[in-house]
Amino acid sequence: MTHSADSPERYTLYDYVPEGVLLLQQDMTVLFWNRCLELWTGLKREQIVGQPISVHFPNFDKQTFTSRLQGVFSGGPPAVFSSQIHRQIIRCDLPDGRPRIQKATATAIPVPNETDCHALMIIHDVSDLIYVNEKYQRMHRELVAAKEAAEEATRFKSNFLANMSHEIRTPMNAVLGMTHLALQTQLNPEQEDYLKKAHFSAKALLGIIDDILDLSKIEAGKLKLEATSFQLNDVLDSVVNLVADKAKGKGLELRREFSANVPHTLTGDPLRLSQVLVNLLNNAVKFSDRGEIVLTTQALALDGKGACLNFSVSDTGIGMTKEECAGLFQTFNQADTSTTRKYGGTGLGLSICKELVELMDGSIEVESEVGVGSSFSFTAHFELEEDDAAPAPPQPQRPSAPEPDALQQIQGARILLVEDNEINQLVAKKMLERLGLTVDLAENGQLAVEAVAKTAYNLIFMDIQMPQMDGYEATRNIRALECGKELPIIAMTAHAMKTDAEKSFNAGMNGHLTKPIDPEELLATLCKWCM
Amino acid sequence: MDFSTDEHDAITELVNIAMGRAAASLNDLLQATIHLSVPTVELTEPSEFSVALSNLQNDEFACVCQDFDDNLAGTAALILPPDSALKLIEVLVGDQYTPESLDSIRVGTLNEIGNIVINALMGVLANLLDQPLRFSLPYFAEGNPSKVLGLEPANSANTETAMLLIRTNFTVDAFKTCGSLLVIFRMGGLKRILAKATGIYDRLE
Repeated sequence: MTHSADSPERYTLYDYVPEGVLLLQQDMTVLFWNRCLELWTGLKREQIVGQPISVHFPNFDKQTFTSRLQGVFSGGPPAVFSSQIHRQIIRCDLPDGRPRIQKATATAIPVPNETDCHALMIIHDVSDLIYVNEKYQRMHRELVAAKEAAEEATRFKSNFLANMSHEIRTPMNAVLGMTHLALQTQLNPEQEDYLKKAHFSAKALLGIIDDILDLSKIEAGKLKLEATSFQLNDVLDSVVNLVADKAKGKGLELRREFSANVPHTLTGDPLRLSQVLVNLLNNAVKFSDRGEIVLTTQALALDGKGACLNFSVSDTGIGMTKEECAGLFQTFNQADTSTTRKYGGTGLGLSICKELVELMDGSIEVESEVGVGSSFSFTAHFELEEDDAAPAPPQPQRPSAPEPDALQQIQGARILLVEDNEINQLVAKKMLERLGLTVDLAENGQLAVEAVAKTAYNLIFMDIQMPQMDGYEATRNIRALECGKELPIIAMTAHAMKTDAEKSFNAGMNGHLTKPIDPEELLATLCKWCM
Repeated sequence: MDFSTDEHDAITELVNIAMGRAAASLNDLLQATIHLSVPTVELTEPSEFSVALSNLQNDEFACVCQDFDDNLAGTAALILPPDSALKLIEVLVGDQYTPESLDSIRVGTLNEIGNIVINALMGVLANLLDQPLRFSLPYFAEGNPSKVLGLEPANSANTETAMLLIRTNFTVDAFKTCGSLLVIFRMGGLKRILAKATGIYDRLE
C-alpha cells in the first residue's frame, strides 16, 4: 500500500455517523471503513483496509464505478450513485435477508502534496424507502388491474344488456304486432278483453326493457343529452295528456301550476325531460286513490343565457316514511318491496330519473308523509335562446299525424319489405296491406337488391340484421343502381340506440323505425315518403 | 462588457468540445445516439434572461443543477421536459410506475443522470480552461428553469450585471426524448474565461 499524506486516523469521527463511510485512494485501495459498514457487512476495518475494494465488492470493478470515481480522484466534481440504477453499492443484506439498498455520493478530498485526490464515499441505506415504494407499486398495479377488470365487466354488462334488449325486442315486435292485428278482426267481447290485456301487458313489458336499456346506457356513460330548442308548454301538455286518462279513470284531479317568470323557449333535451315528468306523474297516479295531483313549474334562477327551473309533482297518495324515502333513488329499490305486488314496476324508474336530472345539472328530492301524500321535485338547467320570443327552429321529430286524404294518396303504392324473420314479415305485411298497399317480400339483402332491379317500388322497409347480406350493405348496393338512387329506404330494426339511427343514415337510408313497429308511426312514415 | 467575435468563436468552440463529451457520456448510459445542436453562447443582461430562455418557459421542467465556484462561479444544469425525464428513467431502470409523477427515488435517479452528464461537460471545460473549480453535489428542482437558476429579473437585482449563458439542446430519437444543457458563468470570472478561451482557440487554429 502506498503511504498517503491523508491520514486515515482523522476519519475515525465517522465511526459515530449512522451512514456507511468509505475512503478510497486512486488505485481503489480502501483507506477507511467506518463502524456502520462493519455492522452492515460483518467485515471488520482491519479485514479490508489496505486491500483493493473489489476483492470484497467486485461490483467496484465495473466501468460505471471506475470511470466516474477516476473523475473524483482527479479532483473533478462529486459523483452520485442512485438506488434505482445501482440498488447495492456495498453488497450486503438486511437482518431479514433482503438486500440492503443504498445510494451514495463520492467527493474528492485533496491530499497535501499530491495531485490526486482521495474519494470519500458516503453510503446511505434507503432500503425502507425502496421496499415500501415497491409494496405500493405492487398495490397500485393490483388496483389498476382490478379497476380495469371492473370497467371491462361493466362494458361487458352494458353490451350484454344492449344485445339482450335487441333480442327481446324482436319477439316483442311479433307479440305487439299480432295482438294489434288481431284486435282489428271480428272478436267477441271476451276475446277482445283478453287481447287488449295481452297488448297492454306487452307494451308495459317493452317499457321495462327500455328502462333497463336506459340504465345500462347511463352506467356505461353512453347516454348523451340532446341540446335542441323546444317549447316547454308542448312538453308539459304532452306529459299531462299521457297520464290524464289514467288519472281520470281513478277519479283524480290533475292540475298544472305555472309561475309567470318561466321562459317558454328552452334549449335542452325535451325527450328526457318528458321521461322524468312522466315517471313522476305515473307514480303519483299509481300511488293515489283520491284527491289531486299537481304539477308545478317555477323558475329558480334566470339570466341572459340560462334558466334553472324547478318542477314538482305532488300527490295525495299513500306517502312514505323517512326511511322509505332515503333509499328511493337507488337502483332496483322500492319503498316497500310488497308494493311491487300491488303497484308493479321494476324499481328502475326513479334511479333513471335521478341520473337524467343529474345529466341536466340538477338534483331531485322527495318530501312525503304516510297517508298524506308525496311531493317529488327536481331542478334542471336549460340554455335560453338569445331572444326568448323568437320562434323555435323546426325540429327533427316524429312525423306528424297524417291528414285523412293523405291516406287516400298512398293507396296502391308498391312496397318492398326486406325482413328475414317470418313472424315479423307477417306482422309488417298485414299492417301495410291493411292500409291499402301492395307488399312484396325479400328475405335478405341480396334478394332485395335483385327485386329493386326488376320492379319499381315506392318505398322499401329494410331490416338491418339479416343472413347473407345485411341492411346496410343492401342499401349501398341499391343506391348504386340507377333506379335505386332516389328510392326511399326506411330502416326497420330492433336496434334502439341513437347510434343505430345514425348508422342507417350513413348507409344511405332515409329514415329509421324502431321495432316493435308503432302503427301510427308507420303510417306517418308512409305518408311522408310515398306521397 | 464587450464580447468580441473572436471571443465568441473561441468559447463556442471549447463548449462544443465539452458538450461532445457530455453527449458521449449520455450515449454510454443509454446506448443510443444523441443528437446535439450547435451551442449558443450569449452574454446576457438580467432583463434578457427570459428572452434567452424563451422556449424553456414552463413550470414543469425537471432540472438537475450543480453549482461551482472558486476561480469561476456559476451553475451547470441538465433541463428535461417532464415526459422526457420520466422516459429516461424508464429506459434506464425499467420503472413504469405511475408515470405522472416524480418521487424521491426517481429524483435520485435523475440526479445521477444529470451528475454524469454535467461532470463530463464541466470536467472537460475546467481542464481546457485550466481553472480549478469546486462543485456542489447535484440538486434537483422542478419548475421554470429561469426561476430554478435564479435568473428572474427580480432575483437578479443583485450585483450582477451580466452572465455568460451557454446552451446546447439534444435529442435522443430512439426514446423520443430531448433536453437542454446549460452552463452559466457569473460575472466575476468572465474576463478570465474569455482571455483563456481566446488563447486556446488561437492555439487550436
